[in-house]
Amino acid sequence: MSEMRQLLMDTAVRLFEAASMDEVFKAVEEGRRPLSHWRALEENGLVDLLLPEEAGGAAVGFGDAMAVARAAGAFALPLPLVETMIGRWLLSGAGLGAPAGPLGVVTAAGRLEVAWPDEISALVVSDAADRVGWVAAGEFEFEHGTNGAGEPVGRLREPPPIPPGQSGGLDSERSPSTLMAVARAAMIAGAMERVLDLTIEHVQGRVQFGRPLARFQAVQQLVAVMASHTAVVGVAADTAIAAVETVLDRHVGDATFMAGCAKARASEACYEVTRIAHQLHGAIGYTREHDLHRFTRRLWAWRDADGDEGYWRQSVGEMAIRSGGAGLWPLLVETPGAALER
Amino acid sequence: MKAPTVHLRFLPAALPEAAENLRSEVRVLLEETRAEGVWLADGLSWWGRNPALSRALGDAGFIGMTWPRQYGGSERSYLERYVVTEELLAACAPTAFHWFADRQIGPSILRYGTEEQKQRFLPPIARGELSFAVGMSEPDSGSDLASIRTRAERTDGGWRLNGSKIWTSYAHEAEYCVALVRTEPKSDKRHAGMSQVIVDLKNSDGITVRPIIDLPGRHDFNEVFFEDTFVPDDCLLGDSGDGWAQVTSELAYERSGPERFLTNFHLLRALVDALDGSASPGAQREVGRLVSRLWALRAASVSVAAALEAGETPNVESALVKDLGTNFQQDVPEIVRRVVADEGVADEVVLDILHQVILAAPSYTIQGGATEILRGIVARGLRLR
Ligand SMILES: Cc1cc2nc3c(=O)[nH]c(=O)nc-3n(C[C@H](O)[C@H](O)[C@H](O)COP(=O)(O)OP(=O)(O)OC[C@H]3O[C@@H](n4cnc5c(N)ncnc54)[C@H](O)[C@@H]3O)c2cc1C
Repeated sequence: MSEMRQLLMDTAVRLFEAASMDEVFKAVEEGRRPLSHWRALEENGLVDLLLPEEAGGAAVGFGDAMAVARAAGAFALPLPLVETMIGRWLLSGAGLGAPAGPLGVVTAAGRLEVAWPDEISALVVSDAADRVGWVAAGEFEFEHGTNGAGEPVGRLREPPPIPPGQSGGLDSERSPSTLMAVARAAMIAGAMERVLDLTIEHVQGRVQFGRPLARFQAVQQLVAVMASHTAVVGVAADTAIAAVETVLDRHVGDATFMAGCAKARASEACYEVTRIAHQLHGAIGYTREHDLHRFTRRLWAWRDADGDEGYWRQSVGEMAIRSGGAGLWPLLVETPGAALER
Repeated sequence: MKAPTVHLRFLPAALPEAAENLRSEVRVLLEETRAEGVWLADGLSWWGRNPALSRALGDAGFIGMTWPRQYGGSERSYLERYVVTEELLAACAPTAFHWFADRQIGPSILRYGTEEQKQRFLPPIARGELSFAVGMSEPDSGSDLASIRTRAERTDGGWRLNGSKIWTSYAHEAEYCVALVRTEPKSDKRHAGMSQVIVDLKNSDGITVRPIIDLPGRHDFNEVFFEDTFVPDDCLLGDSGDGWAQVTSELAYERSGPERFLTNFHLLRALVDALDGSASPGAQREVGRLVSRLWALRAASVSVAAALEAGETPNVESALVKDLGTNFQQDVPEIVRRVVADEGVADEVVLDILHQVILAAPSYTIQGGATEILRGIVARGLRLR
């Protein structure tokens, strides 16, 4: 891991570990506003990681920023950090200043659903004419709903029109759907790592029939399966992130296929990972007293967010069928290039 | 709450430029040899055996690629070998003639063999002229390989073999077999007293090869009986008593390779060929489901290959890739079968491959470490056992 990434991770993890995070969860559970904790993220520069230095950002690479997304997943961060980070960067890339406060990002892949609709200060929207812009809170209509984690979401009927002067050209390398898909895959990877860790801890500590659950072969086999899915989702997310980074750095190619594969695989694995985690936790995992639900419920929400497995499978499948039999293999192995530092 | 412990981390890796450049070389060679009629795709892909193709690949330097030049290799990196391997699989090339020697036996000889053995066996393997079989399993020893009973007893100038090996793929065709045998009686130490010997299958007395017809109806594997079969001293591979350590040291290479998820790529490819722009959204999603899983598996497999190249021993990660990869392969024909039925695909090519692959599919999760054994290795890696 690069020094920069380590430093970022340490900062992010320190923030997420702070005792106040438990308060944020409590607030969410009780239907209160969690955004009083938003300031800490802003003050530490996390929302501006991707922005160039001229725009007051940290100008970190996409991969480094995604390491923070993964950490946010590992803490089930119930705040729209990733949306805001990417939203501000999209606007900055279009030569626009971003409104202060948390943002939502609307994408077609995400079925026009936006997290925390009453809390965000603006929506970042792109249109078919390859423009991106923002629409302030109160200036778009939506229906209230909740996601799989019980968090509020707003459902838009159509992308709201962007008011004049609030949009700019969208660089084709920064497709909001693609960027949000890989970011969400990274968050899923982080949350799965947490769920696996909780499960391993549990089966090692819980004693039945005179021995820890971990001593039973049937239990070992189930943990191995969830560990395998977790590991593959992690490397798939990282590989797609590396592809996005290459596209951004070298201005070549397109990472939609890789992003779609990573998100489809991440969303697909949520079922098996959460199923096994709950099975092995027994009744205590079926409560809001144990921490497990924080993470499994976010996995159920995030597998649907920014394109569920159905959406991305179809996108990937279309590309595969269009490529034809002879083109299928090249599609699978041709990356935008560039070896990632090990 | 603290940050979670990450129990298994696969670092993302990309193949280096040198490896990528090989791709087109392999593709050209395969195209040319196919056009010349050297080979035809086999319904079971790399399980097909074609000595002429293996010779052509040997001539082009695609066998024993990572070995030193003095033994016929081309001193390429493991990642370059990886690209060649996956290209062969993607093209459905029949490579069983050299597969086992290239993948595990050659590397074992290179690592444990005497100078004389290296000079004698490695160059012809690399030329694609010498074929080896793997003699590990026995009728009473499958997953529990350490329980083997075939014994080798000291005799004048060598060893005398008695016992039998089973499921020995291509023992009826290969020139040699590397057999794991007991050179000392069983003791309390489960993994002690075993050795590897190189058996000349064509020129030794006391060998009987009994064909076994497999589920797809083919004669690919056999039972091999040894009755006082003489193995000269210079065919002991490595040190007597070190057999277990020797066979397990190559497992990461054997398990994480692309043959664990690309064995029936030709089926997916044929399906994609049979579908077109009019495919239903449901069919598109099923294709995308398979393709996204395959892409993710390959990302994991390339990560393991890079770790191997870096000199690590990713045994747990390899077991994991093999488990998920072979499960994926097993799902492929089931999913293709549904799409074919739902879309009314009548393409004979797809149906023909599909029927063969359904018959081959049960073997994926048995050979080279069965599912439960692999998961046990992963569980041990997680310190659960
Ligand atoms: C197509 C094919 C080609 C082969 N080619 C070769 C070859 O060339 N050379 C060679 O030496 N061998 C070869 N084999 C043999 C292969 O290595 C063995 O089949 C494999 O090691 C499994 O052994 P087994 O078949 O005896 O199954 P068993 O070991 O009897 O296993 C049967 C089932 O029981 C499970 N099981 C076993 N032990 C445990 C345990 N402790 N806990 C939980 N579950 C357990 C297994 O996971 C499996 O699901 C080949 C096999 C096939 C199918």
